[in-house]
Amino acid sequence: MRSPFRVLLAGTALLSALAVWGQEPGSTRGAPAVIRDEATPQAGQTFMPESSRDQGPGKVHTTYILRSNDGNKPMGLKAPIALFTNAPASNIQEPETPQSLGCLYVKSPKTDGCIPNYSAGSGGPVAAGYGAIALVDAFDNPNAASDLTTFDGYWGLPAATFVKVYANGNGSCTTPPPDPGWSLESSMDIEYAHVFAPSAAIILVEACSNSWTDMLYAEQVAFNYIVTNYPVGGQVSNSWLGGEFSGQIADDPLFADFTYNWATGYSTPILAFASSGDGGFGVGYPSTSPWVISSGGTTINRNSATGKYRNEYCWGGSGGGTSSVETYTSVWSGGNTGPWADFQYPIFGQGSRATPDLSFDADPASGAWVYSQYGMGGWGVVGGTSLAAPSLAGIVNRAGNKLGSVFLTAATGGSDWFSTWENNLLYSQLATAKTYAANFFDVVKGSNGVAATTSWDYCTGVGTPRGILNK
Amino acid sequence: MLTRNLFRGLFVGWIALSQGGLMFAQQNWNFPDFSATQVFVSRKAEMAMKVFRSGSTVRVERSAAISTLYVTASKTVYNLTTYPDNSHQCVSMKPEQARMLPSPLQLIQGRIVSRKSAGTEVVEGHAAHIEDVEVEQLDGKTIHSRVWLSDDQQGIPVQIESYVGNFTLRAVYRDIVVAAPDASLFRVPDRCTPFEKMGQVAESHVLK
Repeated sequence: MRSPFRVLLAGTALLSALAVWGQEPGSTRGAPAVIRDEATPQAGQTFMPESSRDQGPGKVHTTYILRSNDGNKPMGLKAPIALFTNAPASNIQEPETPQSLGCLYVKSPKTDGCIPNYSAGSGGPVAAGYGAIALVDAFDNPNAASDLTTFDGYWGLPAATFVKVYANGNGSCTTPPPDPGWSLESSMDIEYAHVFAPSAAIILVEACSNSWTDMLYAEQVAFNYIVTNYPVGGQVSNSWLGGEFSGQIADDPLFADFTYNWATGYSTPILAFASSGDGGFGVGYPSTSPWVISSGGTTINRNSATGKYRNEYCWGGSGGGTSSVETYTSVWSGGNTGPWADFQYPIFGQGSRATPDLSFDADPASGAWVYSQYGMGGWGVVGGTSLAAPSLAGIVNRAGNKLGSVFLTAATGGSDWFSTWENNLLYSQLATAKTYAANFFDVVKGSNGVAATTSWDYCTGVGTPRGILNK
Repeated sequence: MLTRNLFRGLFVGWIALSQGGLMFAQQNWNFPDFSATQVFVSRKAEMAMKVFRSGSTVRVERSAAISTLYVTASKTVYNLTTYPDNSHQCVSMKPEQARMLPSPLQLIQGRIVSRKSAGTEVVEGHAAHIEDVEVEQLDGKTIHSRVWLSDDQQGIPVQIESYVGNFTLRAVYRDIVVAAPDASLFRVPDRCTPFEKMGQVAESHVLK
């Protein structure tokens, strides 16, 4: 097992290296010159906004990166090529669409026509889902509802039930101030949660700021909103990250489902997701909370001539590593169990919490179309593990939340704390290659500083979802 | 005659007092205030949290940052959170708004409706006598619990099973300290956000 300090150092070095990718114009946090990174193999350059950079102690950052033709922040790109229904468009575009991602992760990558902008045959996401998915973000996105309307209309997705909640009861603000960087984040979050679970209500919970205090308060508001209004439950997705801190163990339960509904006689099943970060090998919080499904990133590789899916690699930016805080002693013996402690421990032994658990497309080079009027003046192509967390939350939602959490449900016979589904679907199948292959794509190529390997790895966790997880 | 009437009066008074005593015993627990580690036992894992009892008030510390205060006297529940910057937040709620996982210790703190002996057993190394109780909750509901009252810890529960809804909530109590916990643990903050004002719905639509 790697030393936590080595992991931390490696992660810090990578983050530092990546932190020079770009600078959002008009940023109020200093104003260093724009520094452009190397072109990516598929898609030219990328742009890391100020909101996705390390915000220093006490604050968290977004976890998305924009694809950029020139290294500057793209603003108001032309609308994507429209969907073709009879055959793939002759001018196949690289960015992923709701249809292509739906085809890949919900149906099967082998499906004919699983190509961006080709809807017929792709069987992209059809109406499915239940309850609610809450997306926790900082600051206000004044155009969130209209962005989702535009996005859904363009891609032919079902209408969404959308609620925006200000997490302002802690007195930090009356109305969260608007912020372009976080608006882009929240637009992407609500759009891709809705792509995969169109029948789930989309709840955008806006914290007053990106401070830990406001974000952790917003997390409680999100859980309470679902518990109060959607007794069938749902998911809470967190596309943001901060550095680990010594007291985080005390905050871990904020990401867990310690609820009981007197009306139904069961707890309200809610499962939290968190992006694992975009800085390559290294960890952050809340991704390392043992209660969340840490969401890592992949690159989707396609045939450049036909647009057909070829395979998935570990994305070099995918966060992942070993926590220096969430140790076996602090978690297991402290009763602070969760997805990791319950299921990683039997596989990996008495090590510390390792991330990610599961992964999804996150490379800006294979980024997805997002519409954010306030964030980037309209359409843009966005990647980062911010894309992974809400998408995986949506996929798990449409599957009936089979990943489970600390539930007291009929499924557990009403006498136990955990659904065994999670064990069956996330980790237990690692030992059974045949079943595992039916439910996950094992990403074995690429590196985020640590090479992806057969079975679980520091870049993609158990891999990307396939099979019964999506059905 | 006078002596006879006096005797009858004393007898009636004794009956009334003894019945009253029984009623009193039935409606209140007579174990002292204490603190302990409450451990939820399940098939796969145990979940531990600190509990503190003062009279009918119970404080449950899920972690160093997250606590719940059940104040039976005022029929109010408080969620107390300490954030990484050491700031504090208090959310107050009516019992019917409280959707936290209940604590069996809190579930036996209301008015005892019925109480009967159910034998003896050794639990967690403590000889205990068992009682089946029905307790009226803050919101008027009645919960049936089985309580293992220690013989060597002044009757403090060492195990409680509460039968709520569709499942059995079972907790054991370890590291019991028989002493009144610090009063500050039960102090309600001056300013608490009402539960219904934790967040504000800014928009709600079915988008078309």
